[in-house]
Amino acid sequence: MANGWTGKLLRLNLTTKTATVEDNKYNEEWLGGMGLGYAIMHDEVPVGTDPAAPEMKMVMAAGPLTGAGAPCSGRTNITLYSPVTEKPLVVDAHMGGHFGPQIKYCGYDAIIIEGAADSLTWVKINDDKVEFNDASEFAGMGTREMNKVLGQQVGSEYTLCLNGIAGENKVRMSVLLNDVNHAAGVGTGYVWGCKNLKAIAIYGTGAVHVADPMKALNLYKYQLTELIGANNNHVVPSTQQSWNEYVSWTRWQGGEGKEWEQGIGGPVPTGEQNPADPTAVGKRTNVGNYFFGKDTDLLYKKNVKNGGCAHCPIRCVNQVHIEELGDYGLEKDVSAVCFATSHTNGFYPAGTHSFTTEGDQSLVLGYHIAQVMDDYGLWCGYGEMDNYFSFCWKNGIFEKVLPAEEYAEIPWDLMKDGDPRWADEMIKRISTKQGEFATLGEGAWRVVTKWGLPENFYDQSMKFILPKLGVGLHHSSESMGQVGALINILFNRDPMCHTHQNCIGNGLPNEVIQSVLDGMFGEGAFTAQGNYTPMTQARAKWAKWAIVRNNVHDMATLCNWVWPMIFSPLKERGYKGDTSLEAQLISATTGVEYTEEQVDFIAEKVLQLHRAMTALEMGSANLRQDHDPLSAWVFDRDPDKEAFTPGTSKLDRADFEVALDMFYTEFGWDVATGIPTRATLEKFGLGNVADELAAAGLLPA
Amino acid sequence: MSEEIMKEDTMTQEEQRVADMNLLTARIREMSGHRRPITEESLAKDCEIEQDYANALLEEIEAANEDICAYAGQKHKYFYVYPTLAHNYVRSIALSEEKDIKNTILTLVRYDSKTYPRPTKAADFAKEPYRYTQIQVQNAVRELQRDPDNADLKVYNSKKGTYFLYSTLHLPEKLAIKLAEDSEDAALWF
Repeated sequence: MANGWTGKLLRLNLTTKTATVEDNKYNEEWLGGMGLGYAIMHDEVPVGTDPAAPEMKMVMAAGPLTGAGAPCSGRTNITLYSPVTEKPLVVDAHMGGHFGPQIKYCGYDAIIIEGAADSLTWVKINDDKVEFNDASEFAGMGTREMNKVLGQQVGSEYTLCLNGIAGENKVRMSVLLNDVNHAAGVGTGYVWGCKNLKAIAIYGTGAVHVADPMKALNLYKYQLTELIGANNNHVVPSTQQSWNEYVSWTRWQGGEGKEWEQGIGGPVPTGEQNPADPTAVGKRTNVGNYFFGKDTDLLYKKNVKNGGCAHCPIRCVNQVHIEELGDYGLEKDVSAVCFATSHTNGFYPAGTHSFTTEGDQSLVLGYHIAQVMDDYGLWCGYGEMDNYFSFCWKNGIFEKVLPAEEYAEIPWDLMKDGDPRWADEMIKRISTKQGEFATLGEGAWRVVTKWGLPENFYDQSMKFILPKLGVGLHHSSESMGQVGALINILFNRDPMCHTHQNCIGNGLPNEVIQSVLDGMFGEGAFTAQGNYTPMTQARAKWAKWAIVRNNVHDMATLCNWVWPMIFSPLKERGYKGDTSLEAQLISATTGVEYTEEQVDFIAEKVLQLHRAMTALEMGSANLRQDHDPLSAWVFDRDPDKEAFTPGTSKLDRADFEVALDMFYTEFGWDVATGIPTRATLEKFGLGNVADELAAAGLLPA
Repeated sequence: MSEEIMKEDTMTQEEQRVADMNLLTARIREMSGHRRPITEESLAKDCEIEQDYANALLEEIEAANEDICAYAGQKHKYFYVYPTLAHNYVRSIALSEEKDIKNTILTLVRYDSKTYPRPTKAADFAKEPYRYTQIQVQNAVRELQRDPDNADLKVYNSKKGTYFLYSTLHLPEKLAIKLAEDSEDAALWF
């Protein structure tokens, strides 16, 4: 009986419509999740494979903790080649929900999807029974309707992973969604669309076996009573309660007087939130109120309940009732997490108006847009689409690039009026590839290239961070200075790393955060928001640890929006968490003893492989020059201020070169090129990858 | 008076003193269990002990019990059990009960600027337990700023029109402004 892992992989060949089960030879060497995905992609998908080709594969992988019951272990990691960048580059996407655990309950560690069906297909998986079904009845169907229709066909015990209209139409900026609104981005929908795959319905009757269940249970209790805070592991509440010294506006919103007012059966109080009470964890978080409710508690007035992923006590998904949407004939019951807040400014660059309560437009529009995006399966790229759409509108680009007739029939007045139906119009046009306007769905690189946006677009747009690739930021230099910036150079998409960001938003005083981080990595690891200091080696170590640990979570799988447990809400612990918990849980679950260092080593191995694969895919002997340069705004913002003075997040160019040197050194990469050396690759058992780089003329001397 | 009777009176006074201390201590613990600190006046009244005598006993209690603390407000001393009740929780109750808006503003603004550090949103004074209106806060700030001793108290109105306060004793102006603006930029906190 396997523990943690199942030891099996399910391979779906859509060309032959066959399913085969094979042994998972990658288990212990690659852990699972991201590690498994990268290993398979490296071994099976040649460099340069077009994401649209039948030869492209997608690995939807679970990890040893997925579905085992560990807090926040419901995630699925998806590895593919990105259709969004100019060249196909390896990326991974992730989604919450219940899909990953179902993979495990069916008896597999991952599903590998390859080939392409000759007509629209959906796949039903129930343990070892796999059916390939005609999906023509779902052609052109949004995910919301499909959840109902397919859900009724297969039964509520099935988890549905769906491709929306955008992916079906091969829009590059598309997602897959499971469990209604848990999405995986970076073109996963596009790859499914090219394979004519519309849905996977999955239900497993098996179990994830745990080697030492009592130890695992005690670790869960330990985490829930001593370590875990709210979403993003914010460990300080937003209200003064009887036990907390510190009060900060964080995602920990629950407290006396705060009720989910639209609760089914009546308002649901959240009450005082004793940190040692595991039954209250699920009432702490209200992400919507964190963004929309600062002086009004508006999201408590709208909240029905909090939803979330399998095995997650945090419940970060606001499920709300917005009556105002009914005035426009739109769905009033909507759900979303963080990013609902952003779309208002991006999709409505002409401005917006309040609906019922002063300032409520971000809430009303944001949640509506999130709902429509999910229904169509369109990906915003963490705000990238919002940003270049807004730029194009403000700079008269649409008048130049759209045919006159098309420009004239687009209802721009809806946008100018702040009407929620503008979002429907915009999202529909992009998702159905209607006209030249739909170029917006092709991603930043293609929009900039095709429409001739100014050369300095990326350097001026504070949404984009890697101008060579057209990749947007995700907690970059604005999040702990050089740490965030370094994390953002690494991937071929936004890095989806919250290890560092969680620290600056957790509500604790800088002094406490500094003492913990400097204690872990050395003096100088911490740098204060808005008051940065020059780079240090300790900070390079911290940046490396932050992303390596993020990779641990993407391999295990655990949610990096909550993990790692660097901090605790308990003053008795000095607010210090326990970063050994991942390794302890993996050990207790699998029965294989791992230290914290060993788990981090495996995670770093994946990153080394990623870096080498990126060099190969770009044909670059110098990633420092060809991949890693940051957009100029990072250094040029706040022109009236100097870097490293109070009041600015700007970085210094010379200092960042030092940061790169230190960061590359920490990873064992050639400092001049940012590419792993042979010695480093061999240290991680990747000598064969060093050979590949050498054969391509890309290995550093 | 006989020697036996004199001995009995002395022991009774000492026993009484101990009993009174135990009564006061128990009352503090009881109230903390109900999430409330208690002032020395309320303690004396609840325990039916003369005030000056109670105050003297309370000093001894505080010294003898590591977990019993006192917060010195402007008007009262508030007794509580720590860590059952957080120091700042008791402070918030003391400030709200003493209804001295100027002291409340100065205390909290200087604390926030020193501790986190961060500027303080004036709207926070409208919330529980303070419940001051914005007009009250702005008027109080104007009065405070007339006193040279409060020259460190500054106001910043953000780009979104939010009224922030900060203390230059602990937070330089440029950093205060940056932190205020960052706090209102949702994109930084997704």
